[in-house]
Amino acid sequence: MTAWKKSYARAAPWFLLPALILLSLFVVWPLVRASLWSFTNADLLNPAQKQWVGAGNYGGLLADAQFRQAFGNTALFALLVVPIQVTLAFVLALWVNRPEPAWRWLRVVFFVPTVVSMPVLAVLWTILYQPAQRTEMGLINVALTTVGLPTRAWLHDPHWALPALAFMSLWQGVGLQMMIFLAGLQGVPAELHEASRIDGANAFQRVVHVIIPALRNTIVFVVTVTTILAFRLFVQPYLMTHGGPANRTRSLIQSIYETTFLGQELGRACAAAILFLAWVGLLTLLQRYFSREDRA
Amino acid sequence: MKRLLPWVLSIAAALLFLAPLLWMLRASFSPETQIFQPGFAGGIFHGSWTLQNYADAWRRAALGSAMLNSLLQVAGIVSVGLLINTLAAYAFARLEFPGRELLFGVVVVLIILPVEVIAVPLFFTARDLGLTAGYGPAMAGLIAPFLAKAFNIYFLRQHFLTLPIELEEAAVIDGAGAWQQFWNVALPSIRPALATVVVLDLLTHWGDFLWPLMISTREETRTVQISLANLFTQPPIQWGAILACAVMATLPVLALFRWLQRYIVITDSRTGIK
Amino acid sequence: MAQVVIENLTKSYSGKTGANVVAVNRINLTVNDREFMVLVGPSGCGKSTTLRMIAGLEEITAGTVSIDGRVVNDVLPKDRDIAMVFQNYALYPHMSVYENMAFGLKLRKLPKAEIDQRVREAAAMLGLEELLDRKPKALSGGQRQRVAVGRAIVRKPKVFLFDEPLSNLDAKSRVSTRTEISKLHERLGATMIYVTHDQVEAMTMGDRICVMKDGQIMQVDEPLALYNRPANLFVAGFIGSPAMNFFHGSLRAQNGEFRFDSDKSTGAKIDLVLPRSTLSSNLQSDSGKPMVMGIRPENLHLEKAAVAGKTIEAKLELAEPMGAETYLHLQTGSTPFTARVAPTGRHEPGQTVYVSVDSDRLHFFDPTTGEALRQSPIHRTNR
Repeated sequence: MTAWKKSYARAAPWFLLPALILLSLFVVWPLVRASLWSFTNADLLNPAQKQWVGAGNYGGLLADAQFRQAFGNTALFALLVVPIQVTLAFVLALWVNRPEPAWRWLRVVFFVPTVVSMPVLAVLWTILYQPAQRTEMGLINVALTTVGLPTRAWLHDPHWALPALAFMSLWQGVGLQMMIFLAGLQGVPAELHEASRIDGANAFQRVVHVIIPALRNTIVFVVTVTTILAFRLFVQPYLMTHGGPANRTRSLIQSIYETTFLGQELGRACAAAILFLAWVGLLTLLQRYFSREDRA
Repeated sequence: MKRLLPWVLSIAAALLFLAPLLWMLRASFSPETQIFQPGFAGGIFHGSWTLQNYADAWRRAALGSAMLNSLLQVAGIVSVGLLINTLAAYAFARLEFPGRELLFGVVVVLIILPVEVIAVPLFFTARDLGLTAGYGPAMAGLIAPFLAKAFNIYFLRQHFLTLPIELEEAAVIDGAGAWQQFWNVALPSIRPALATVVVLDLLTHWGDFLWPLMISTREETRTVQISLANLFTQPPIQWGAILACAVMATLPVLALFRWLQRYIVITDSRTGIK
Repeated sequence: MAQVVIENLTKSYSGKTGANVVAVNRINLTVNDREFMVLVGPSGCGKSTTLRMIAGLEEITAGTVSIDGRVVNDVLPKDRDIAMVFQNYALYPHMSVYENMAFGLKLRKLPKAEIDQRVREAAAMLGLEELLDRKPKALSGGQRQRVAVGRAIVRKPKVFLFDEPLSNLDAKSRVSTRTEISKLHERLGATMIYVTHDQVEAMTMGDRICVMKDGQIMQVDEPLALYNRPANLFVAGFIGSPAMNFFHGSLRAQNGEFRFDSDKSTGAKIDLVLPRSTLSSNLQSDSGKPMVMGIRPENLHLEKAAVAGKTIEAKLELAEPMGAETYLHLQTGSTPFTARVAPTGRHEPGQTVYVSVDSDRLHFFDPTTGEALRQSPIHRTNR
């Protein structure tokens, strides 16, 4: 190696130490502990006193109807949010992808809910979803009555609570996805559009046969990230429905949180967390598998 | 007429989309009795205006200190985190040391790790380090776990890699050591990437909820999000005050919004291409 | 004294397929104090690699580099007392012109007053006074390159290194910057090592030129010496534009003189008889052996008709009027060649023309080794 590269390399430890120490302390070590505790029956108040239970926690979780329901709720939430939000974001990106500066305002508009924090929005939408009590009701129900539709007790209805959360999450996140798609669209070389136009393709065909394949990696990326974010659901059910009604909105993370602080079953909670990690890892691997490395 | 149609549609869509937030703003200035009146919703300009909600929110949620805590937390994470992550990213990008690729591989794996997975043992780590007792340590507890971020290191490294080698060589001939190279040449050259990281971290941590919930047990360390949640769950439930608090919690971010959205240069992080 | 001595310098590394690639092969060169030495050659010849080894940017596999009598192999670039100008300027984009030039001096902790003086002095030398507050992106290519040169000047180094500094400039900027660099050398009297692939730059700027090919030195000499006495086929064909013409054949003694017989396979119609006085004794004794005869385009003249023993018969392929002269692209047999003739006269493609030769301007080369066949053999590695 050249002399100067060697002298630079000698400085490397100083550059890396802060980040590595912090990562080890606050990421790697907790991860190791979570993994270890997941195989024990550790208790919240006295984590030192624990016994090895092997795969007992894992088995217990998979057998636990409540845990399975929490996972199912979260999966249903993801199923509701991801396809609709991604499609809508894609369509919006196509809609606003015009060069005139006026359209930039519209992009900003769609992006605003993303900037407002989730706790604020959770509180806001709880108020918006207020059911009708005599003459008083939340804005959503007001809008419905204006067009002649019946009102609902959205967050109190076992069938509608989760979709209501999904709708609100959709509204919050669509702007960010739209921006990502927009960046991808603007990366599609103009020649591709022109060539297909010369070939006689109309707008719809161009989208399906030119744009979507060109944006394939971006789409896979957005779908994966949105799915992972969907599974991290916590604030909305915690603040808006407290997991109800009838545990229909209780999410996976909420279940971990409650197992820790209410049930005080530390080992069990850690097992659930590790299962969640495995799930996220699987999704990530799927994304890598479906993303082709080629870039024309 | 045909040209006007996309315009009209767009304005209608925009208004409809922003309706909840616009309503929130208006309702925060409405007296309690008016908030759930159906007629009120349509009549934005009718109805009374009041500042009582804000007064209540300020008092009950200790908004002053809550805002301060949130600001301190985010400022701390963003500024100190930036230094720590850029240093590590530069080392991975430009300093050739043994085991670099392997170490970086480990960092990359950590990217997908959601905070929820490690939140529980992290709580114990924070407690063991004394980050829950007293105001100072508690604030440190809100900040420290989020300073070093695998994703930021990956992202910044990508950008350092795009810098032309001749720039580095010219500085070497000029006599720059590793730190001078980093501080005077490499870092200023990736300003757009730094802005992106700042914006992303700002947005992420302003809305932090799970971690502050777990660790901010004392009243004086509550962030504005936690204060809002308390107003929301603890009786008496004053909807107006809650809305006012919500607006206050949003203001700082909206104020920066014009500056923020200029820097949302979203990258396809898998390929690192802007 | 700022003399640079390179001894047995070698650079090798494992290439993409794992095989060993030798970029620079045991070269020896001395650059004298205050000399403007140009390293020239086609891409891949090792000239840039050599320069970078002198700078300390590239690791040396074997051999030594000495500056001012001191071996600097393991010395950091900043301690070698050198400055370098890069092909793509490598200006710090976020710093102003002033700051770009001051950066190296600030790192050395020079007093502010001295930094200011040196920067303004260099700026005045290069006509950059008005641009000191501008950022690089607000400058033209030529201006940026001048800033890069200014950055080198302020350091007052022992040796200036230039790595193809004009390649990224447009034609006009290239010419003006070229003259500026030459004038700079006059003014500063510093040792300068300049790498380029353009032989015109080499010829006009260098005190001496080092021609390289495939990691080895082909010849080192003053420009006109390279032009008039090339040591091998490569240098003969590389230096000079349009390039030297080559004909394959051999010499045959005939009536006290020597006839050049062109190689049968080329079918070139060469009627050339050379008096003894124009050929060295070595050449005369080499008659019968296959050789390559070289003649520069300006040493060929258009004749109205064939002259016995003096002309080449050829077909005109293309005439290129350059204004001050015309290039005739000719072909005799299967051998193409070029002649530079007066701008007057009509030229029709397909015409048969007769070209005479300045017999005292011929070069002869060995076709296998490429060496020039002269009075005495010339060594490959020149000092």
